[in-house]
Amino acid sequence: MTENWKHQQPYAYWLECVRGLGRRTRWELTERAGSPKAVYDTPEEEWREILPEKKRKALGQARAGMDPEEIYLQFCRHPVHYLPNTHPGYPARLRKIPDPPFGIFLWGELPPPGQPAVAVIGARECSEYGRYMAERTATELAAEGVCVVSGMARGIDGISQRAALQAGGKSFAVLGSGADVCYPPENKSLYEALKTKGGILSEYLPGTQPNAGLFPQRNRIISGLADIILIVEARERSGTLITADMALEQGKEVWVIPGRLTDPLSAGCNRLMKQGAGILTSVGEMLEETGLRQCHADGSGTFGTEPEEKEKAACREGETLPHKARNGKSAGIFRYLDDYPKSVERLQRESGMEYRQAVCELMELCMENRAEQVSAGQYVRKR
Amino acid sequence: MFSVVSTAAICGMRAVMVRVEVDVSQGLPGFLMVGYLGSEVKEAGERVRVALKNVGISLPPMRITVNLSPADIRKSGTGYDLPVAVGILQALGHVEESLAADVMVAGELSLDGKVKEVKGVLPMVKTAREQGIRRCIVPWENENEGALIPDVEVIGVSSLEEVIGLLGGKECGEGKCAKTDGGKENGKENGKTDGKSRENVLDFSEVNGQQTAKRAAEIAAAGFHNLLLIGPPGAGKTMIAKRMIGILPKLTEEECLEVSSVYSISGLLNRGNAFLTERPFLSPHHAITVQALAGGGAYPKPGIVSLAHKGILFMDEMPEFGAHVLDVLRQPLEEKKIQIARTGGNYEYPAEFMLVGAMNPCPCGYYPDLARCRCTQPAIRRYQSRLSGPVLDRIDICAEVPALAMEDLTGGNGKGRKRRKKEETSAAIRERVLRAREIQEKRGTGRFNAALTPEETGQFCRLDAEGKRLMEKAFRKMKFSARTYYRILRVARTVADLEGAPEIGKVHLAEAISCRMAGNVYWDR
Repeated sequence: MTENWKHQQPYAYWLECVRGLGRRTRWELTERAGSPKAVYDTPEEEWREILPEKKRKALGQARAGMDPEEIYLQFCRHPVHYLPNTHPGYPARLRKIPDPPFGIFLWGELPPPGQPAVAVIGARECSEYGRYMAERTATELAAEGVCVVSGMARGIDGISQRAALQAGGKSFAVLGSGADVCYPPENKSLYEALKTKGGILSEYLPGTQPNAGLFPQRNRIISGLADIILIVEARERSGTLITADMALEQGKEVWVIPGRLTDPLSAGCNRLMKQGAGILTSVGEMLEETGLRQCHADGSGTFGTEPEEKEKAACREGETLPHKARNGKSAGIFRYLDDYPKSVERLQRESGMEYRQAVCELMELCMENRAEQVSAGQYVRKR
Repeated sequence: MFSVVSTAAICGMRAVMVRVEVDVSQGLPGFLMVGYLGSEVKEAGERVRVALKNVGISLPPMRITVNLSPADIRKSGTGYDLPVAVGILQALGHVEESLAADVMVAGELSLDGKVKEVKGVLPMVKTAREQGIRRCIVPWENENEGALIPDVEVIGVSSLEEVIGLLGGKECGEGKCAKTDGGKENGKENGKTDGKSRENVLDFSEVNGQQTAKRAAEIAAAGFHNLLLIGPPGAGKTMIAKRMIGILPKLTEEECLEVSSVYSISGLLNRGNAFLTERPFLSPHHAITVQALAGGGAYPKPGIVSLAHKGILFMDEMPEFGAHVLDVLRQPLEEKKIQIARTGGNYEYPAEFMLVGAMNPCPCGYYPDLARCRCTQPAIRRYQSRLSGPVLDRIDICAEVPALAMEDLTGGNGKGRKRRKKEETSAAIRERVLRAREIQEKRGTGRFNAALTPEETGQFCRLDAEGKRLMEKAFRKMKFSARTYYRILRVARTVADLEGAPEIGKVHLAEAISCRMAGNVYWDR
């Protein structure tokens, strides 16, 4: 089979094209027959024991209606490549998971087998904190030479992939639609960038429209392609947690970014933490602990304390931060800002500041990129 | 036997003098009315004949021809009954020609000879005055409206007999006239003192907390900026909007006349409520049709936008209004008037209102509180994009009305130590608004800050050194469009005016920037 994989390509593609056959049936048929071509050559009557009438009929119709060589030739003009499981390039990582995809449609390249890959996933409607953590983590992962695998969804997925590409790293998206269908449309620019700086993978035929039922399925491929799963933000009951379950089933390690107990978007992470997930405090540490990186003993990149330390360091050196130079109280209202939007009223109440002064300082912080006005009267802290 | 009586027709906002010509001559007996008449005017003949009979004057068997001139203006409404009757009386010699010559007459007749109210008396009397007429006979109900026009004698009548008496005819039913006269005197007093007094208007001191929104309301009122209030259900958006009338300056006499004219044409004035002293507050339901909002009908009437002239048009749950309904607002917001074209002609009504909109931030109402809101970003965007860009462009100030905290309602900080802070009253806010408006008037543009042209914005909205620095930074950081830039400057001007500052400082500008349509979720245009 190793030599004749090229002959198998059209037949595998044909098998993908048969309507009414599921992934498991495809696998079963090829395993029994020995190869996709053998499936094509076997009269459907022989599948009587394992296939119901309907599927046999579908198979027969497909055989009569489609010529594998012809449709495959047609498909080859498409920029999307097809890697069936018979293909030597089929990702080795996927061969190990339960219920692997029959074949992968690919636009761009595959995650390099030798390079570690981390799946960074999380909520679509994320908080400012989630956005920040996703960006920062992905940037550091990229700097470490780790690929970021995700689903190109709104929120955490897209943010982390964009950040990874921006940092010069590689990123791979697994879609719940055909590889040539960009969903969600607002991630169009990311989608285009991924084609050249990474890859877009899908187990569905090109042209398949996004469908809610397909998304949980693709999650297993995301976790399958990655060495570890990192969850940035997730609600108590969410799709992200389904992916975590699948990852555990595949024997992958799950890591989470800790959040506050009061934070509904961190509830899922906290629950996983309780169940024994890895807790991310620094990307370097995580990579070392999971054996994805050889020991570097500099301990850099610990989260959380950095901004304050920078500030302290600056003060030690006799420099003043820009916002302090102009107005000594700017730091005052900054202290009361949070990762969650707070209204001016609330900030005023907590800081005891007068309205106009509070607004003025908030505006100034916004200019300095230390705060953001998320809606007419609500502000969040930026870092 | 020929006679002429003056009356007036309403054409849009203006009244046009109309001559009622009556000829009574020999020939086949009959009653003929001509002059481009609407069906209600055609019916006037029957009403007049019966009314005259019932006050004891029977028409002779002669040929009566009535012409309403100019004959190329469509006549509608019921106000022609009385002038036609007076014309016939005059032609028949029942009233003195000299007395009826310089009089404008309007009124509807009922079959028993009573005179009933008509629409548009105020502009009619105004036009009559401009044409040099010194005496107007109008229905008793409309007397006080007409009385707003100085230098003209307005006589309210309640029956045909009274009119005959006034015009020197034989007095009949004298006792009745005397009685109604007494009533008139009282009525006049009432009409003058009417209009809701300031004390009855809802007060801002009843709104707890919500400082940002109240402040936005104050700025909006001071510069006549349009305002959009965004917040979860029950936070107090409607409450604030309703109280904004109380912080606007009172109508000047001229404005009062203008606004009352609109109401007069719409037939919304009566004896007890003869003119408006308070600014109108209109709050249409979101199921409103385009015609009701803009004005319309085969023979157009002012719509809600015109009834809100010089006042507030409050649109609660703004995204619920249909897109085509909201788009109607584009012309009035731009030109301060609305033009309606119909077969009967083009009509123009004033529509200089302050638009106050209220909306939830997302379909569920709780965004950006992620603990409660589970709306997806596309859903939020879809919801917000129901307001079209052109309408949003005219809204200068956007304020959030967040859900109230317990402390705001009880006043304490939870420990019961602090008493509740006394909320500011409308009167105190109004005083600041008035001062700011005075400053604006002194500039002599004849416009409030919201309507300044880019040129005037450049001239009057000067930033001081610190302000300039902040503006430069903000411009770069937030990528303002030219429109946004001017909008912010105008709002900043108003903020500075509220303080009496000649130049726009950093604090003023910061506040103006903070109340633009902000953030990544609301329209960053």
